[in-house]
Amino acid sequence: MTCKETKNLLNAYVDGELDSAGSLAVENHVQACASCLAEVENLHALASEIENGALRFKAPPRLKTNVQAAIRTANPRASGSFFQWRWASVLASAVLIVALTWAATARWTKSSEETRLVNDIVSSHVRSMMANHITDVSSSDSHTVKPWFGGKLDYSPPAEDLTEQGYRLIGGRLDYVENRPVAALVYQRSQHFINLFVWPSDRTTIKQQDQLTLQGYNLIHWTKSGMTYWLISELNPAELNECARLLRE
Amino acid sequence: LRSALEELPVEFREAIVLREMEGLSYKEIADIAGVPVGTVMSRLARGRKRLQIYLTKTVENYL
Repeated sequence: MTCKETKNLLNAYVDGELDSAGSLAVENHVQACASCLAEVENLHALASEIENGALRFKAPPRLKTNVQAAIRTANPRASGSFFQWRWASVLASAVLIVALTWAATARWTKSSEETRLVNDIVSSHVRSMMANHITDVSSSDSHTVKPWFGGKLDYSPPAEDLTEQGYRLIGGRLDYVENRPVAALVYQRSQHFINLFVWPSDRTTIKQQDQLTLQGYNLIHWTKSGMTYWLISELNPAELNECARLLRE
Repeated sequence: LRSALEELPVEFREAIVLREMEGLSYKEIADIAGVPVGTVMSRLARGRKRLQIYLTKTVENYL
């Protein structure tokens, strides 16, 4: 790097505005050139002179109050508190929007999970009657049906026979709902089949009964003693409700 | 030094004050003054040169 080139870059060098390659090139030259070195020293001296020159002076506090007073007179709405309130409201709106979005997303996710589950149950019910495969074990004896699930599931579903109340236990079946094998208990009332799906619930609280209708099927859902129950049939809601009530007792 | 600064043309004084007293980068000075970085660099160099000359003269006169 020539002396002339270097001299053009000395200010930037002293100000630390050169990239590392440029800075190094200038430094190498300055080490070997007395004239450039003197100039660098002059620049440093000038900088410290300006720094120590007491060139700054503080505006008197009166200036600040005068300016603020002038602003207030010119525009009464532009007072400090107005701006603070405005920022506070902007912040509050932002927080509200975030909270609402989060709540809506959570709700939507939850409801779509439930919708999928209900669809699963309806499909299982329909399939069980379609394929002439409604039971794996056919018996109205709960002492036959209940042990049959042993070794097939990691829990023991209840298998109450309700023949005397008009809902005859006709057997049990392994089914697959919500990505897990579940117990399906099959009841019959006159010509209607009723499927009761049972699996352990991840909810510990007791859920009050839910009732809904989908594709002409009535569904009743409840949780009790750590198990979740889904009862489904084309039976009318009143009789299905009665069945649910008996099962819950 | 203050009178030396006051004698400088305003664009040189602006560059030097922003650089030395406010510690801004060349880019920031360029944005404020609305000129390219290269212009900032040359204004600083020429302004400093003038300050140095002025100060040297003052010292000589004083002696």
